[in-house]
Amino acid sequence: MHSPFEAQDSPKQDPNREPRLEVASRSHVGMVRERNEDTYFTFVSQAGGAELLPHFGLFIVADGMGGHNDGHRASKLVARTVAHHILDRLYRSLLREGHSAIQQPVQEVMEEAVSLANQALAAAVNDGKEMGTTLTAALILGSRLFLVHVGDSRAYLMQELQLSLVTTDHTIVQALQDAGQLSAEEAAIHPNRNLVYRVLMGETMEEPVDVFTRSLPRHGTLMLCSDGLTGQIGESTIARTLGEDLDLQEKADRLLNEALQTGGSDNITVVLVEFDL
Amino acid sequence: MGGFTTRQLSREQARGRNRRSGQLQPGDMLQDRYRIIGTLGVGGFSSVYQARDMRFANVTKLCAIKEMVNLAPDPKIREITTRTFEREASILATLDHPAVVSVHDYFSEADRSYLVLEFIRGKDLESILTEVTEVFEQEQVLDWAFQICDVLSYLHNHRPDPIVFRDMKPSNVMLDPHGRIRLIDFGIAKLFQSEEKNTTIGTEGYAPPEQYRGEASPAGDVYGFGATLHHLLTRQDPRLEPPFSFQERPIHAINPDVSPALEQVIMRCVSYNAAERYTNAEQLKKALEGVERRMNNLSPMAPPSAAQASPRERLQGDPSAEQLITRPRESTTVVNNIFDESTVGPIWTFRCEDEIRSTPAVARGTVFVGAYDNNVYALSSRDGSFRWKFPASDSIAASPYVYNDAVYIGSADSNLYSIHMHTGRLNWRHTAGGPIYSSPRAKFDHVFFGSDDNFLYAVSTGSGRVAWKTNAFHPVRSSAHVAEDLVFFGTEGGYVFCLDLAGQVKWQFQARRAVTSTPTVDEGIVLVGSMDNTVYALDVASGWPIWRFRTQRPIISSPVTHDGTVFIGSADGSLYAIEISSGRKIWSFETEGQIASSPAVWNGAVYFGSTDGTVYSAECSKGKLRWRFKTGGMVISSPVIDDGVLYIGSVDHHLYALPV
Repeated sequence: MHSPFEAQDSPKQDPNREPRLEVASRSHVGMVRERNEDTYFTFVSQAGGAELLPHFGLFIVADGMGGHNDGHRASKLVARTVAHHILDRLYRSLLREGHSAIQQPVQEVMEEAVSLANQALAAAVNDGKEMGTTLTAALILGSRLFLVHVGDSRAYLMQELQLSLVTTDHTIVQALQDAGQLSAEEAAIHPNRNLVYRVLMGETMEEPVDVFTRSLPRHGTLMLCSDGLTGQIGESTIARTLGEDLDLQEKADRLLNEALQTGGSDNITVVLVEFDL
Repeated sequence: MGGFTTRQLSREQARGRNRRSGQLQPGDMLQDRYRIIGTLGVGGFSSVYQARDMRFANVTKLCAIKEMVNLAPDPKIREITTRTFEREASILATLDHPAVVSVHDYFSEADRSYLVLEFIRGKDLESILTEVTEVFEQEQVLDWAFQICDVLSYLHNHRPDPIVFRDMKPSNVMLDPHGRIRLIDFGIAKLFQSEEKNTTIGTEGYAPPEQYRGEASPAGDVYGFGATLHHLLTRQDPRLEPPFSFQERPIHAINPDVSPALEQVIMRCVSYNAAERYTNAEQLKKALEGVERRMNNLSPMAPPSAAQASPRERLQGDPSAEQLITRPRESTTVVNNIFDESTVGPIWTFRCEDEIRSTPAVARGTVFVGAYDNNVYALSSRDGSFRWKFPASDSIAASPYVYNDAVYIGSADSNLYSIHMHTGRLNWRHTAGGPIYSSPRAKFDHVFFGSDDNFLYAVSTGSGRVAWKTNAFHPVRSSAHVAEDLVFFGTEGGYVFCLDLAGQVKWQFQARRAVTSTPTVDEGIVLVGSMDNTVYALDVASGWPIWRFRTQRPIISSPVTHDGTVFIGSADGSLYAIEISSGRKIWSFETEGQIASSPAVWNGAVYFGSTDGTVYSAECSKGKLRWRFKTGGMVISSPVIDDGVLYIGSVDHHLYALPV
């Protein structure tokens, strides 16, 4: 059909641009702990040429709780359950039926994934030994970012040299800051800054988990990390490192090394995703 | 039924001596009379075949033949099994109810017994559940429920002994082509003998707990009935859920459309303790009749939209349009006496000859509004003084739109009018194939609107010529939202469409009921309400659902966004503020009527009308009431704010100018 609106043409995408998702990740036990209780998971599907599938990337960081027994089991189990549910409900449907496949709201799929992971934890508890984990899962679907988040692992978005924290820590100090009772400076040195008030422990969750979406810029870097990174190095160091002219893997290596050199008091995990959409 | 799978069955058969191996094949004859045509189903102990009765050689008389294979190695048990079969035949032969399948014949050959039954065309409810992807309407389910209840009641009242069906589940309920229910497979139905412990059990998920202890009673059928209805209304297969977990799976959590009264009845049916259920189908039927009465009395929400309610239906006295919204008691009060309940007073008012349900438009010192008296009025925004009016040949339920020097408005007379904004003279009109309840929107020198003729139109604002029209397959009463070079609108068929500027469909999304609400786009997310009670957030590029937010009643109100929040009204009486990024409720504000009016946001406050007759202003951030203004009729019109003044119409025939 003839378009009457051709004169109104909007800026079209450069036909030679190739969208891409690139991933680099590191996980390290640190300098103090005996065991790495962090888990990360990345999955990237890229399709080009004819529009087969939208870009699809799933990135998960889970930090098994240090104080609890079996923290490493918890982070592993939760990451696997969440990855399985999201890939099964969204990615497999896309492959099977194409673009029109997604019928259930994406955020509901992510909420279900967390709920299933929590149930799996409940079932896996041994002899009443407590185990728990944080969870930060990011899904890139088309040009949109979906996040589900429990605990104090974090997601950052770097865009045009501006670093912004996308998640909200479920920590006592963050709650105090939100209530205006603590400044960011005071929070950084607060003796209880490691106290997390929400983690997945297989117990009934009183509040719904944080799940939200935002559109992504054309170009940027997404970073997921455990508090072993952010507890050691500040946001200015992270922003500077991500802004440097380095390969993505070199950036991940450098972030890890910075955290190790400043003490490495906890397990350190970092996942970097550079996207061009 | 027993735990035999098909595979076990064939293995057992292969092992058997002097036994027919495997299933009957098409062409096989039984009793020199019944020719097998095909297999209808295979169960644990039995198979069901379709056969032709060759006694009627000149016509094709079909029947269903149920074959029971006697697999038990123990002769005693084999004997019991045969007796079970004979009992089924005898019971069935004595029954006389239109919903009970009739028995023509029965016989045994070797170690197999056969029951010749009436062949019922149609499908069982389980197959229908599998084929249909949508949730059944509760009216439909209630109709089936009454029919099932009726036949269960017949069985439970059977003399001398009540008959317990014992295997109530969707696959045992056939729906014939006339929409009538037929109960099939009385395989384990047995004469009720309270002292005797029965051996076989029903189907896991549908069978009551006491049946596993060998107890069968009419209350067990009540449980199976409840389990069947729960499955039909939630689409959650109880065989896949934890046993006896109905109480943890309330129906409204999955299907909010189900009336609380119906849910209450079903939940009582699936009580774990038999004593807490209805004792028999008779009692249950009484409870269902109560549900039906309440649904008929208390279900004011009918299909046509209120915001743009079809005047045709209203004028013809269609009760649905009037029932749609309960008139406030004050509706007859004279305008001068009603300000007592208001905390602000009007700057001016203007009276039309009929109700104002549409939303005004304001441009360059003039307010334009359409009324049910067929006129578009142009008034001075300063003092409400009359400038001109333009008569359409039928009522105007849609809202005017001002673009360049013209006012665009659609009418139930099927015309879209372009009127000169200063003189009120007609520039041109375009006649669609059906009434226009969709309000026009103009952009890029084209005006976009939908019609009840199922098309979405793009018409040149200069010439009135159609640039393109796109078939949406259902009436379009939603208005088009034009953003990011895309056109978004909803249809009465429940779809949200996204078109490009050439009118080509880019994607469509299906809600469960009509989408009369007009979509809006914010942060790459399309937001829209549906008559299925739900607010949907869809990805602008693909139409994928991102989240959904359920209210208690249908949504006609169109969403408006401000600062990361979407505001929308519902027929449940509340205005909702929902966070766009997460789909979580920030606050809700309850009125005493329904909110069909679409909210407007200005300077940190949200404004909206309710059918309780009041215009409200609430703070955007917390939902705290700022002021309210009581009109003399329902407020279905949406507010428009210009230069610190809010304009809104009321069913009391007045247009009000209020200070914000």
